[in-house]
Amino acid sequence: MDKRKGRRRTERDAKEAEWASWMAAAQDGDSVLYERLLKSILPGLQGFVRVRLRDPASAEDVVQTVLLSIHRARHTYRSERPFAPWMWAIARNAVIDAQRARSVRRRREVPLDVVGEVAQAEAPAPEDASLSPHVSYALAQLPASQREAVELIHLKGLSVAEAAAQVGISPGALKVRAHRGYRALRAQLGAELK
Amino acid sequence: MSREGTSELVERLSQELRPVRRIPRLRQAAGGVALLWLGVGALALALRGLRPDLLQQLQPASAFVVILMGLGLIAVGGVVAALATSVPGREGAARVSLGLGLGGVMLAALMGAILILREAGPAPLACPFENDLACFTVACLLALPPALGILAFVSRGAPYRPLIAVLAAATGAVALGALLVHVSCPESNPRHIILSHALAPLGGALLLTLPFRAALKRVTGI
Repeated sequence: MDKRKGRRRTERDAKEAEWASWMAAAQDGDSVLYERLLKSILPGLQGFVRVRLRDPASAEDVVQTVLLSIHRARHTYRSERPFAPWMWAIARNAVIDAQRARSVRRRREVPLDVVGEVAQAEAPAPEDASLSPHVSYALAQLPASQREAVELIHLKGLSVAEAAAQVGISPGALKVRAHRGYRALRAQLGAELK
Repeated sequence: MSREGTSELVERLSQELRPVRRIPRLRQAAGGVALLWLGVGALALALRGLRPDLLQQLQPASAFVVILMGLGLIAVGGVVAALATSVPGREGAARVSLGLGLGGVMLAALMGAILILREAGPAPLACPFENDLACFTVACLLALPPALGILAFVSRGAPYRPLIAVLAAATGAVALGALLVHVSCPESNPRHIILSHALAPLGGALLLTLPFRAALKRVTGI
């Protein structure tokens, strides 16, 4: 067990020494060794990023960002220091940036399935669709696109997909319109809609 | 929309490779900043002279010495942190030096204030605000050459958080300036020493960080 660990450590140290020498050569302009270096570190980088992001598409983008950052910052590597900590620091920073960007995006955007659920929760069932004059008036005050979405789902009882196909927009866009319409109706009518 | 694959990117980067000049070692950069500071300090002390009672003030655990040590810690911590945050893989050094700098702030501002107020007695000497402003301004002016040295290194590096790098640079550089002011200013008023010597690095950081950040962005685009 210890022997295996020791051998693995020796292999890792040898690989790191190789990376360090390739990077030093790359700093002097050796493009062959540079390509070898990038290809050699790529699987490790991909694994590192994928484990942390768990989204293959964005993970590949971040891997590319890391490669670009390594390229731009290659003059900051000192060959007397180990290569791996330098590379992992760049990778870690890129992952942190990606995670921050993703959390900011999540805070700002409402997923379409959530919008759909809200719209369904807010919409009365089709069989309760006998509208009072107040509701009809409030409905008439809505922008045409929102009114159409509310009418198709609420009055005609179409599914979101059917309504979206009829209007000629994506289901997501229709959900957003319907949600906005329900919100405006609720603001106007207060408890009456309930 | 076509997107470049990772393998194509690797090939492109290899083809675009040009030789680069390596960034200096951290200790070389820190040595360069220290030399700049020594040059500025020699000039400043030649013009201003040392504090007349400097030898009497250099008593162990006196407020003067505690503030001097605090400023020294802020200077070393700030300068090394600014340099280390500009090099990937030196986060450990950056964290340790930021900790040193914070320790220096506590020592200079808190311990210094407590000790100096205890030493001053009930009726400290009066001191006009102009003197406070003058010492603070001198500290900031003396900070400029070392700060430019630090920023030159930062601009050559790859700072992950440029704002932290310039904040550390401004704090450390003004602490270097404040050290020279502290050993040359004859004033003994506690308020003056706390505001214009011990707290000068914090005031200088507030004043200089944004201009330094703008300069860095202008030079490097980051």
